[in-house]
Amino acid sequence: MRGDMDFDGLVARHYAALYRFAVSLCGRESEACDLVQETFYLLATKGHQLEDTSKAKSWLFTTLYRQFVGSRRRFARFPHQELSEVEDEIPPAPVPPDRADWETVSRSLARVDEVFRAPVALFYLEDYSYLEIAGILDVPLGTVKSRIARGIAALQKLLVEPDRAGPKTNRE
Amino acid sequence: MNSAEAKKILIACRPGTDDLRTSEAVEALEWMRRDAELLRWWEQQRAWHDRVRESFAGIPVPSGLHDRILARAKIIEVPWWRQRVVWPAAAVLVLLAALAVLLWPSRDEATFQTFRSRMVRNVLRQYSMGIVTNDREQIRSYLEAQQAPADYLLPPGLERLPALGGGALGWQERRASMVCLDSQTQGTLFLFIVEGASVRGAPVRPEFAAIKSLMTVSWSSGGKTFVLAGTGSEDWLRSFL
Repeated sequence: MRGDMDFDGLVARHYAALYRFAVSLCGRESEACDLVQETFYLLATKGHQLEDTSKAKSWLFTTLYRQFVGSRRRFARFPHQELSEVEDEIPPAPVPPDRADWETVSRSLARVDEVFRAPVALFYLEDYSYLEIAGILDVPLGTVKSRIARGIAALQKLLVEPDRAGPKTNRE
Repeated sequence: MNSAEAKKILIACRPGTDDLRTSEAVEALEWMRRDAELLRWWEQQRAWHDRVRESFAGIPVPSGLHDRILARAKIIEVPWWRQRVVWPAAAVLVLLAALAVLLWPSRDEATFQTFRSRMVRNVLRQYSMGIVTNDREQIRSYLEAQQAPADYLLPPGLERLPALGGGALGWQERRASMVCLDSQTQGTLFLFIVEGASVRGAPVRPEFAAIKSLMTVSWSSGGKTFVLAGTGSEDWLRSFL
């Protein structure tokens, strides 16, 4: 870590957002806390490799996501998702207004495939652009847009039809 | 463009952001102006997006998480340049060290047990490395410049571990070397090296002992005494010898 990086300040600024991202991914408080603590541990021990301190926030989100993926042993390669697949997933009826609270959303989000969960969480949690989300998740820009669209469509459909099975990715 | 295609694009656009400034989003918005049903759908989407963003922002964060993160960071090595209290703390340590030298005759303390205990206590406090690098040769050069043992020979198990850095510590009227290694399984391993002549009663063959919260193994070789300390078990330490 560079000498001008304020570790305590970085923790204070980003730990809550990182926790919210983590719990959006894994759905469990204890696991989310572990992911956040491990991420900051890595910052403390290996953060000196971070040349540009202004990118610390993106580094934290990327690192947390990689740990999550690693913990799930998800090493499969995900194919590009075409936007045309979204069409069938957009619910015809609007989502009822009372189904936007976190408890309800998180229950449905947990049923959305992990591949879509991360971009959707970043999309709603932070003001990251598509390009920034692509950088954090290390996937092409088009894939990010597609995954966000499919993830939101899937989430809405699950909120409208709670008994419906969640969507799955087409894996190569 | 048709209404279905416009929906596919707009569903991934956050109102009030640059998401709506892409060429495809602009085209979808243009189309929407000609489709009253799509316009109603978009208004519902906007409201839903806003509510979901609010719900994500309101996810409760466990109390104490912030303190747990900082507490864990305090027990790992923090480069000296990140420690705000390093200079006042260093001044206090220098003062205490001077008092210790005056109050206790060094000859009585030059035992191996004292050396081992002092080195372990050193790393259990928040300490600093004089050099932070993965390059073993740089660490040796640094230690040599500090007049600390640098011509040491490590067991194969330690040779293969990535180095993290090192430091020179005071011991009696000489210097001891501290080499920090990444155990890759249980955090940092601390290896202390001192000239064998400066400690009395050092073991020749590996001797294991728990010192406070760390397990240690000590041995002598090539005229030097080594103390290896880490957070694992005796068997774990033995695997590095």
